[in-house]
Formats: sequence, structure tokens, C-alpha cells
Amino acid sequence: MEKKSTLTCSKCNVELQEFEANFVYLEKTLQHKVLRCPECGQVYLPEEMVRGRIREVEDSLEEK
Amino acid sequence: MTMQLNYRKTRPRAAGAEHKEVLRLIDMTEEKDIRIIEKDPNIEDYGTKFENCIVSEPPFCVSSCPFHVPLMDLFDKMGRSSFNAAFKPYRDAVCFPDIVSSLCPEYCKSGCPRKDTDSPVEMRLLERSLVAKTRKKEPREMNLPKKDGKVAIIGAGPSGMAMAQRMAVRKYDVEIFEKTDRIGGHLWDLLSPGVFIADIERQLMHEEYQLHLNTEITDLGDLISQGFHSIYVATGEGGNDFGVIENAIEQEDGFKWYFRSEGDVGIFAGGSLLGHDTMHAIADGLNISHALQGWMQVQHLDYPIHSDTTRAKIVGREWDAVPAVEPTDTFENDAGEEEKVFSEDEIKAELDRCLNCQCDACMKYCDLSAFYDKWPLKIKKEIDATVMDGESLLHGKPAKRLINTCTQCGLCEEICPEGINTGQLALAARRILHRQGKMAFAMHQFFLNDMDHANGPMANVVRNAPKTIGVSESYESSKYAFFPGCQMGAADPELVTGAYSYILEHEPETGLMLGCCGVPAEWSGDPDRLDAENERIRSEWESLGKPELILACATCAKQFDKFFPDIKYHFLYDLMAEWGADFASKGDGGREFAIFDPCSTRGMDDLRDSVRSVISGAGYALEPLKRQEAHSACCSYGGQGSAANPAFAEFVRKRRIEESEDPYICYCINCRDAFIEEGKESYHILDLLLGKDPNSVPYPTWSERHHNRSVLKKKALKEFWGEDFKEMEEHKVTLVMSDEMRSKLHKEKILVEDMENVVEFCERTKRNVYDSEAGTYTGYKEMGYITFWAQYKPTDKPGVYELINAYSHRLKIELEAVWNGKKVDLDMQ
Repeated sequence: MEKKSTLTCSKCNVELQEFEANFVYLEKTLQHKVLRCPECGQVYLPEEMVRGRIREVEDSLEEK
Repeated sequence: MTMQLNYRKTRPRAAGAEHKEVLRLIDMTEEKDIRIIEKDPNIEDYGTKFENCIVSEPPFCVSSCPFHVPLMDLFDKMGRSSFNAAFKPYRDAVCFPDIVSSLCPEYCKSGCPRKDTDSPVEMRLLERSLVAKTRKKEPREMNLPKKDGKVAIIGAGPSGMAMAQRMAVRKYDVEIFEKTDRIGGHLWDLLSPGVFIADIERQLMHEEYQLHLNTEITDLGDLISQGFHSIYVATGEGGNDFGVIENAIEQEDGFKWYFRSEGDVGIFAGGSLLGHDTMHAIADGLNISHALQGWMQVQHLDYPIHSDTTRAKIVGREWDAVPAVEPTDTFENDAGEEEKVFSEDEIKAELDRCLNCQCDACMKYCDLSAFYDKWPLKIKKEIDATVMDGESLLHGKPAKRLINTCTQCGLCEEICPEGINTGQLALAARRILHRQGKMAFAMHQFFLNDMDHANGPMANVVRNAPKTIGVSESYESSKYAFFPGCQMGAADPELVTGAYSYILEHEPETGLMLGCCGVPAEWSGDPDRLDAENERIRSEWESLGKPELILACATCAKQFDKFFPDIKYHFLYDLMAEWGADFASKGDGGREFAIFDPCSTRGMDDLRDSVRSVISGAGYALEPLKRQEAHSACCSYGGQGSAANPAFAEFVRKRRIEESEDPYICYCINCRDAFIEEGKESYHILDLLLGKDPNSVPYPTWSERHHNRSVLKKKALKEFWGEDFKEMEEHKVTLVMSDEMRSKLHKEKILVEDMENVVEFCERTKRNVYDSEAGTYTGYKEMGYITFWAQYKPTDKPGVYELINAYSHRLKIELEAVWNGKKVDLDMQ
């Protein structure tokens, strides 16, 4: 994650770091490491992740 | 002037038998859903008729073959020049491939549909060519344990030897008693011994059996005393039947079992003894071997299936007459004789004549089946598993997306010879999933929001006709009301105002109802939403004094048929035919156009005729879209499948536009827009009436379509009632963006107003992430079942932001209640 150092939470003014986050879709819960604000927990998902991994998970849950 | 028009109903459907599947689906639905289903005249079709699917019915040739040779499998392998592989199923089916391929009189040809157009496929010649091309004709040696049971076969003719082969392969003790000094029986009269002796010996080369030549059996007592458990009497034409024939057991359908027993010993008869010809004699030996084995094992008489009928049908196919191929290859058979057979190329050419008589109407016509490459039976299984109550680890819910992909065009029922209606099943499944709370709600959010917008304050108009055009005073009630549907004004406001002006010229007491017919609610499977929509429509209609409606969209008509049988309606295009229409864009009779009938006009022949007469009357030369006219399929808009499955929508659009090079003239605005979006020159009939060219202007994005609706409301109120519509569209922030960004939003079905909401939320709550390298902010907001992300940066002007990027997902981000030791209590609105 090269972008890591350039991303900061506007509210807490701290750099984002990788933490686990929970996601829910169609009654299934899953966890994934994403960039979050260590202070307030705000989640950041870049477009590549939404188009890649998240779309994949959505697609597979819709056909599971 | 008076309107003399018919009240149009969708065509009546044949009632299907009630079936347990229906009950199951209804049982699983709550009372409310039952009410909705009961309104549907096709209730008995839900989930029924699937068991009648004829996809696995044998083709005509196979069903009329005494051996039921799996010709489709054979031909498939031969087409790939896999002759050794093709030979195996052939040998397994006929036992003696050389004999059968030499002598078979081709019963199969009586079933081949080519007999009526040119000549049946040359099946025996193909089989003979297969035998000629096969290098490995020897059977494989099977190392099976010996079985208990002694079988006596009386007669070493084709039927007896076939029985001997089957029982010997299964490793029973087999003894053959032949009164003459040779095997083969009547084959000696038909074929060179070199051929049939070689074939019989080859097929029995690995098996042990005892052959007693010159041994005539006159009394079965001798055999029974020798300890045989079963006896097969195949003594040939005029031979001794040992009392089996007179003791034959006749079945209800007239079929006779040639069987009797003496104690535990079962005595069977078959072959020419019963008057059967050579092929049926061999088939008798093969078929009866199953019954004989069953008798020896458990004393149970289980005669083989004797049906030679099939329910197979060929639907929606045409074929050219192609003469049969002449064989030119020479083949030297086991007797050293030369025969003419097909060369490899000739085999392929002759196989090309085969029509593969398996019903595949659904695969050809139903977009859902074609896209998923799944037969309706498979689709039904997946839907059943998906709507099943409770969780199943084995099945899961495999059809969540498929259920929401179907276009609801209804072609499945029309094209299926058994009337299987996959679409209705998918719709019923949507309702069930909705009730269970297991619907993929995000898949319908976009179109439900769109429906709400069309019925909302920025778009909705319900007005009695103005007494004078351009003046506020209206009639007390309306004789008629123009109901153009929710998408026409969204696509182009002028189409609605133009059409309304045209109507008012001919019928001044026509009010205006701008709103949605509620079909998105039905397609979403949400009964509450549907009820609410229907109530809204009814009250709007009543407020205008229960006028007869003038519709511009056949899907609206279907909704009215279903839910408002008391509302009388007419189609604008029928009225155009009756009133006459002076087209601003006239055809010159030179360039050809094709009329694209929307799927919702299925069965509405009068409407189709009206459209054609109006368009031809305006000078347009029309070239028919044969397939679409005969079996109207959806443009991709129906059923809201484009939100659930964008790839499917694209697949459908491409399929529709490839039918003709001619530009399409549509009379459903969604068809027009679907095709224009795919780059196909298309017009709505009203475009031509009003002299507009939608192909020369930028395609309206989803956001612009919302905007267009309020433009329409404003324009209509001003133009017809002289009123100003002052309400402004609400913008919390202002976004500027590139054209690329706008088209990306459109493709992703993200509205500009969605992005405005996200940016406003992020700015207000400071819930965003700053990228110091790019100088942009990124944040998200959940709206309904979808999470929208915006990447943006401020501009010089306050409240104005530049949208850099946008994306959305259905996965919900779950935020912890406690983070970093602190309670997180966020207002995410």
C-alpha cells in the first residue's frame, strides 16, 4: 500500500493504518484488512478494492 | 368526434393443471402474497409444467430404433472423427455392429424430420462408415467374478447369440443348444458368413460359453433337470415355443410378455419365433437379458421398457433442403467384399444434415437460459434451492442474482411447447425472497428510487385538461387522460408535451397523468410497495373522474390489465391510426427501417398493425424483423435485470440489435434508449411524428433523466395551464465534473444527486480521508442498501466541489460500537 503514508483522517488528522473491518452482505459477515483511522475507526476503501475484491465477494455471495 | 376503440386485454392463457409445486410456492408465501398471486390469471403456471420439459426426450430416430442407439452421442463423436470412441456406445447398443450396420432397414428414417423436406439422414450408411473407420473393434476383456446362475439358450440364431453375449459378459454360465451344425440361424440367408460369423465371434471372444451344435431340445424337462435357472427360447421362425406363446401375459396396453415359469425356472421367448425381423430379434435377445437376469436374481419379472414413442418436438426451426451425401470411399469387409462407405469429409457433410432433434427452444430464445447456459429445469432447481426456507449448507442460495436478472418478457412460456414459464417462477421467487428478508435488495434500489422520483413532487402531474390551452382553468373531470409512463418524459420531455398537444387537438377533454405504472414495484417482488403504487394510481385516476386512459407504453398496459381491470385504456398509436397523423419527419420510401415490437406487445396484434399502418403512412419503407415479430424478446430494460446483472443487459441489447442492419423504429421508449445506448440508430414513433432525432443528441444519463422529468413538469404546466412551476431541484452542494465522470456515473447507475449527498455528508461530518498527494478528499455514505463513495476536491467557490471519482458497493461496512477504547456513536445520515 504505497498510498498509506499520504492518507489522513480529516477528523482526527492522523495517518490511516491497516486494521480488520467487518462487512455484511446478504446475511453473511466477513472480515478484511483495510485502511482505517486508528483514532476514530473511519474506513477507507480505494476504488481498486471496491472493483476487485469487494465486487468478487458480492458476486459470489449473490450466487451462493 | 367519437372514439371507437376496443378495450384491450392480454390474450387468454390455457389453464394448466394444479400441481403440488404451486401449492408449495404458495404455502411459503404469506397471506398478502397469496392475494397478489391470486390476482394473476396465470397462478397455476407458477412452478408447474417443468416436469413436462421434453429436453431429455429421445430424438425421433432414437425412439424408433429397436436398439435405441444413442445417435446424438454417436454423431457428436463421429463429427470429431473420434471413431473408436463412437464405436463403443454403438457396439454396446446393438451388440453385433457389423451385422446390424449391414442389415438394418433403418426404422429411424421414419422419424427423421428431413423425410418431409429432402431425405432422411443416411443413418445406416453413417453407422456402416463408423464400423469401417473403427480400428479397435474388439471388445475389452472384463475381469469380473463368476456369477451363480445357469442360462440355457435354445437356438444359436441372432437373437440367441445376442442373449448369449449379454449373459456371458455378465459371467453367468451360458449353454447354447442349436439343432443344426452351425450358428447364425437365418443370417445365412441374408449376409456373407464371413461378416456375421466374424462379428459374433469377435463380440464373444473373451467370454466363456458352451455351444452344443446338432442338439435339438424337444422337452424343457431335460434342461430343468440339468439345473438351468432360466431358459431363453429363440428357435426361429416356426420353431418350437415350448408353450410360451400361448401362456403369454398380456398387459393393459396390449404389450405381451412372452414368459412362463416352471417352478423357479423362468422361460422366456424372443426373436423370429415371435415373428420379429432380424433387428428386433437381436434387440429381443438384448432386452430380455435384463428380465432374465432379474428373474434369476430375485424371481422378479421386470420386462424392459417397450415404448417406442417420444414427446420430442422441434420448435422454432427452419432448415434448408440438402440432398444426402453420396458415399465414395471403398471399404473391404470381413468377408473380403467391397462396400461403399462415407469418407471422413463425407461423414461430416452428412452429419451436418442432422437436425439434432432435441427441443432447445428455450436455449435459443430465452435470454436468461442463453446467457447462463442453463436449461429451465436447472434454473428451477437453483431457484427452488434459493427460496427454500432455512439454511442449507449443500445448496445455499445459488440463484439470487439469476432470479433478479430475468427480463420478465414472457417469451419462455410462448416459445416452450409445454408452456413452461420460467419468468413467472422467477417473479414468484422474488416475492418469496422478499418475504423471507433474503432478497438482494440492492439490486432493485436504483429502479425503485427512480419510480419514487417519477411519482415525486418534482415530476408527478395529475391534471384535468385545460379548458383553454395555456390558461389555468381546467375541466371538472376528464373523459380521457394521457398516461405516457415514467420513462418517456425522462428520455425527452418534448415527446410527452408533443404527444399531449396532438391528443388535445383531437380530444380536448384529456387530462394528464405523469407518473409510473408501478411495474418496478412488482418486479422488485415487494408486495407492500406494489399495493402502495396501485393505491396511488387508483386515487390519482379517481381524482380525474375515472377517465379512460391513453397509454404510450405496453408495459403500463400489462400492469393495468393485471391490477386495474376496471380501467379502460387505449393506445396512443391506435389513436394515431384512427385520427391520422402528420409526421414532421417523413420517410422517403428509399431507406429501409425495421419496427421493433416491444416484448410487452405480445398478443396485441391490433396495436402492432396500427403502428405499422401509421409508420408506413408516413412514407417509411419497412423491412420486417422476422424473429422479433414472431417471438418478441426484451430490449434489456424489463425486470430490472440491468441493475442486478449489467453484463446480461449488454448481452441482451447486443442480441436484439444484431437482427437487422436497418435502423429500428420503436414504440416503447426504453427499447429506443437501450438500442441507442448500444450505438444502434433507433427512433421512437413520436420522434418521427415530432421531427426529432434522438441519435444526434447526447444520450441522456440517469441523472439527466431525473432532471428531464422536472423539466417536463415545468414545461407541461406552463404550456398547457400557463402556470409556473417554481419548486427547484434541491442541491445541497454543487458538483462540477468532466464528461468522462458523467458517463461513468451513468454506467454505474450512480446519480449526481447521490454524489451530492455523499459530499455534503462528508463535509458536514468531516468523515472523509485526505489524500495529501492528490489533494483530494474521499468519503462514503450509505444510502439504502448501497454504499456510495466520492472522491472530490473543493473549488474556489464555496459549496462547489469537483467530483474526481465515484464508486459504490453493496457490501455494508459494519462499524464497531466501541473503537480504540471509545464508544463510537455515529450518526451516519
